[in-house]
Amino acid sequence: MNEQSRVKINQLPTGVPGLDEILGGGLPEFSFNIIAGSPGCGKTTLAHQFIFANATVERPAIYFTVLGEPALKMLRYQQQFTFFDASKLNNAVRFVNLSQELVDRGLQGVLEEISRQVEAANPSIVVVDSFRTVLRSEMHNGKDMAVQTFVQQLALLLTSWEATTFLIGEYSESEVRDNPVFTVSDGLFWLFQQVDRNSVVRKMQVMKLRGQASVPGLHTFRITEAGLQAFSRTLGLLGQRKTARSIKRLSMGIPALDEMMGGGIPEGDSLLIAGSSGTGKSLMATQFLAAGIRAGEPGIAAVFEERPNEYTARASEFGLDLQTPLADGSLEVIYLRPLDLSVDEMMQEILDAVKRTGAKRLVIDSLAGFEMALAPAFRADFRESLYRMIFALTAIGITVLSTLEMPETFTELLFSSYSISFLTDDIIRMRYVEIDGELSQIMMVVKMRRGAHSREIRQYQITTEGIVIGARLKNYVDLITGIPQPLAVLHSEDLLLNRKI
Amino acid sequence: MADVHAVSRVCDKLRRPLTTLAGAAGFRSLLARALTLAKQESPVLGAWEVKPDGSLKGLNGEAAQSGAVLIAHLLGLMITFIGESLTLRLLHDVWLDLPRSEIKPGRKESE
Repeated sequence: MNEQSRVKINQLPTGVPGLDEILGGGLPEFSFNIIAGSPGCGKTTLAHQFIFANATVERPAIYFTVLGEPALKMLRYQQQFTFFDASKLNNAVRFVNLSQELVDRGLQGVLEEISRQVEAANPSIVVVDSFRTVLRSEMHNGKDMAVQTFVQQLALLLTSWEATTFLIGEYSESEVRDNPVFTVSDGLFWLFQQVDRNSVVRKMQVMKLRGQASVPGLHTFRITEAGLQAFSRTLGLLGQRKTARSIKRLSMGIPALDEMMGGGIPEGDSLLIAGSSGTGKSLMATQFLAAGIRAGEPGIAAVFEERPNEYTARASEFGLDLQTPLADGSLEVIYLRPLDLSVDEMMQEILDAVKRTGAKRLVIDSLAGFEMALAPAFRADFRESLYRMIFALTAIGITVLSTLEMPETFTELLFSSYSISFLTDDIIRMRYVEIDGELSQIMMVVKMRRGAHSREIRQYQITTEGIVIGARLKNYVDLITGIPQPLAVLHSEDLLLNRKI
Repeated sequence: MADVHAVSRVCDKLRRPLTTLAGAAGFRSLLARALTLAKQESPVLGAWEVKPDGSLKGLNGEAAQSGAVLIAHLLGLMITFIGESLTLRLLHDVWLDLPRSEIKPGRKESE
């Protein structure tokens, strides 16, 4: 069927931030939907958000309550949310209790009363809460129609009257199969509450949505005083990375390091700075941000181990003024330690900050702190989540620098404890070495995906001016083990051995 | 000063929107609770009862003056549960010309 003859399905805004994106643009108008889930997972709140976002006096919403939560209590609690607009009550949003009809006349009575109300009010939205109690009630046994007939007639009635419908019910996943309610529905939204150790995370799944492509999978959501906020798994950022013919290089704020990296970090790359505690990873990240600010490139620091004022105060100790850009809005420091965070929420925070600041550079300091801030349930998927996040951010041209604390061993050189080096385009490794009875620091550029880089192992120092990179350590071997051997010693041992031979 | 019929009429007028909202059983529970509270304040209401359909019975002339206490408690309960704003909105749907400043509940929402 060509574009012109195909019926256009209007999409209604859900009123839930992030959910329209998950649904593929909004909820199809006149669709017959089910919101399912266990008690307390946010079904009623989701329906309320939708009706308050869409109902008008001309095309009101009718909210039928049955044998579930008493309407007075529902109003008592729902009005606590900021989306609740009391001025819409009884004109744009009407509540009707059907308990008596169900008790007296069963499903037939419920259907007749819904028909009567719908024909009288011409609603654009109809909600039945809880639909499960309508069907579960044994009061209608022997009195009237079968459940399947009731559901089909209800769907027919509400669709004919051009109403977008939500049936709310406490269902378990095992009930999906062969259930007439789910068969008839156009949309099926499942809300979950998952308990993992001491934390609870909320997730939703669009199990079915006729007429349009929704984002598959489980999406995190949170309930705040503003109601539900959903976080799409992809956050709509599935685009391809920009492939500019000439890759712009961004300065790291350390000239010798730019040189080692072949002219700086390619714009839109993800760089991992790995090293043990005290090697200067955070300082390098701060210098990277400060260099961006100097170049007119706004930045964002997502920090988990110190507060924003501590972060800027520490930068000032190295002569880096982050307080001014923080005040003028060209720098944002995001500090999150809720311990039940999801990566998607973090992404949303970052994307909001990108919109506010026009940021080109992002620092995540550190990945270990980030992982710790996540709810235990999300830590299991940390690598996958990190992959999605970094891919999404670099796809929109953000250059991402992450720091990663590594356990220091003096026998081998680890690049990452998470096996996430494949997630990053570039890797810089910093570590301690013992030289001439002193603890020194060395760094090397291990990987640059989009260009040539120096293979040198350079000594560096942390000074009041920041990181100062010194010369290549030419007179040692086994530097990367942390316990190098002076070449002179090896030569003399060689000579000795040769003489013996 | 309220007479028996006035009290009855007010309750009947409130019954329709409250039954729509909370169901017949919901309205009856609310009125029964209001009557219990009113009887504590005005023992002359002792003979009054709420029928299963949510209407009042046993109304006697002597207690008519205390009928307003029952209405006040009914409105007070509504304010307690759904707040003053929503309660006023419901009342305005029943009495269209009711001035907004007319309702002065004796009980605060937080109580």
